[in-house]
Amino acid sequence: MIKKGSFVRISKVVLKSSERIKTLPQETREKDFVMWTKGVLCDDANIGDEVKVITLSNREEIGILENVNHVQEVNYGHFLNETFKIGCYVKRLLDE
Amino acid sequence: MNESYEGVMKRKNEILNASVGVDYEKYLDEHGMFDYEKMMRDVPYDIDEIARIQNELGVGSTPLIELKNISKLARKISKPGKGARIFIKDEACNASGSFKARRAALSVYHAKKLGYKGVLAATSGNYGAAVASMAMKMGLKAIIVQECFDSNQIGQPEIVEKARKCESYGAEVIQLTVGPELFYKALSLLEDTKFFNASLYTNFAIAGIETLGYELVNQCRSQVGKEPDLVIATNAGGGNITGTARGMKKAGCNAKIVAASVNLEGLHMASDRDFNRKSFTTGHTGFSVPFTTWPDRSDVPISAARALRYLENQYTVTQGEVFYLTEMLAQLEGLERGPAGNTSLAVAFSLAQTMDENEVIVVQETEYTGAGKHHNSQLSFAKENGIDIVFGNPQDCVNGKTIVFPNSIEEIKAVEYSRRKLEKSLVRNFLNYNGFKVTSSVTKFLSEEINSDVSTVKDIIKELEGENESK
Repeated sequence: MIKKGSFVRISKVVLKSSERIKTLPQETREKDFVMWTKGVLCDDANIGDEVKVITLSNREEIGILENVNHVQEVNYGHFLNETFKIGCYVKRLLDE
Repeated sequence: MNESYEGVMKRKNEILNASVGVDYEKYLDEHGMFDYEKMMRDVPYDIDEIARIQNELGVGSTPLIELKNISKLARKISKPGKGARIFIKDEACNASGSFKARRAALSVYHAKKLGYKGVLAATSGNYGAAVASMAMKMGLKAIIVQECFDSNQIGQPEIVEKARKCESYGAEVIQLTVGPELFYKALSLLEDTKFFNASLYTNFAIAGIETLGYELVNQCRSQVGKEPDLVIATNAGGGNITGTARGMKKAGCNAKIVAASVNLEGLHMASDRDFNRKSFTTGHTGFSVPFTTWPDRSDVPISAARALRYLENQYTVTQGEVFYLTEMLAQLEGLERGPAGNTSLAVAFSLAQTMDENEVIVVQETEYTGAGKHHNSQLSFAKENGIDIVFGNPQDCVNGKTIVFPNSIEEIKAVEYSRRKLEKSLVRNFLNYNGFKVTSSVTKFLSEEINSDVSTVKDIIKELEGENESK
């Protein structure tokens, strides 16, 4: 159970695949057009329930409860030998 | 109210006019031609006032830095006497980390003045962060609508980072799957919230960039003792080129300005499959070619970003070359910056070799870097998506399959994109979309649009008619 007042992420189908623009590439047209947003949960609910939230711009939005305290996860990538080589090469050229 | 796709799109112009507080009809003359300069003159702030507004918001007055080591390297592979001095305008120093803060500052300032309670921007890029940052500073709500995920909910790292950044300021971020229906969602939200449409393409947004061109000319005069010989701007929607060129002219400088874009040929912009096979989310030909040749495809009825009025020509570089220069900028100049902003740096490295060593090139922007936006993050993501990163001739890359780092710096080559081809597409698009008959007012307008003369427009129209007949 997710408590009322929690900061949650919800999703919603904006357009079903059948409602999408006909000129889109096939692989896009056959998928639903989906949105995600976040807000403060208005009532206690379970993951997967349809819920109402108040978003950060003070709007009411209804959607499927996805998760709570969601973080946008990003990182700096891996060590890449390819970019490492570039640095060594251009430094050497500059010194020549 | 009909909230279906068709219902909302039918009310498009009504929603847009209300959400930017501009009646675009008044810029059309009796022949239905649009008066660009009249629209730009209607921005109620002059360049000094814009600079003052921006400076109070932590925007503008960014440093102009000479890239002595990169210039030296270009000179090593140039003919004797060749190899221009390359300078970079470090726009990453703006609040929110990019030149987009200049556009956002003025748009949001104007929205507040008009009494709007919030602003909305439909963008996956730096502009979202810029609008969010400026809105918070000025006490307005902000909604940023971004195309972010493919249908497997895999987010492009650079865009996910932008969502994080917008949220860090307290903006609402609406993330969408791939598709141009984003515009429908943005229109619905504008209608529901009655927020200001902080479009990238209003006259305020473009006037906000004019300070960039103005500053760089004056910095060149005081730091270098001369005006720039060439200014290079990364081109996507056309605003960067337009605003910078207009600002340079306001500073009394008529130096050449050229556009730089990453060549993303072969990848479809509305494809769910191709979405995460692109390593650049902006500054690429997927935006620059359509927007340069049909500016009014934007999210306002008449766009103030009209690149062909200003650009001398357009160059493309490959993804591998831009990543390469991004690494060079960090390793040789101590500037760790985001890749998309370095598109024009890659072009500068190539063009510098054709110019005299006392000539000056200004690369007019950098952008912030960070998790998700860092080139190693983008390259790691590319690898995870099955894209090979190899050394070779960058021109041999296949977008969506390979990213090719040059074997040697001699292989970094900007490729000129035919200006005539751009002009021809613009004329074709204008006639097709508007359904105008060719009259003297049409040819005069088109000559201004492509910054050429009426006889060139007539030649292009003849060519197009010939092609139609042969079909």
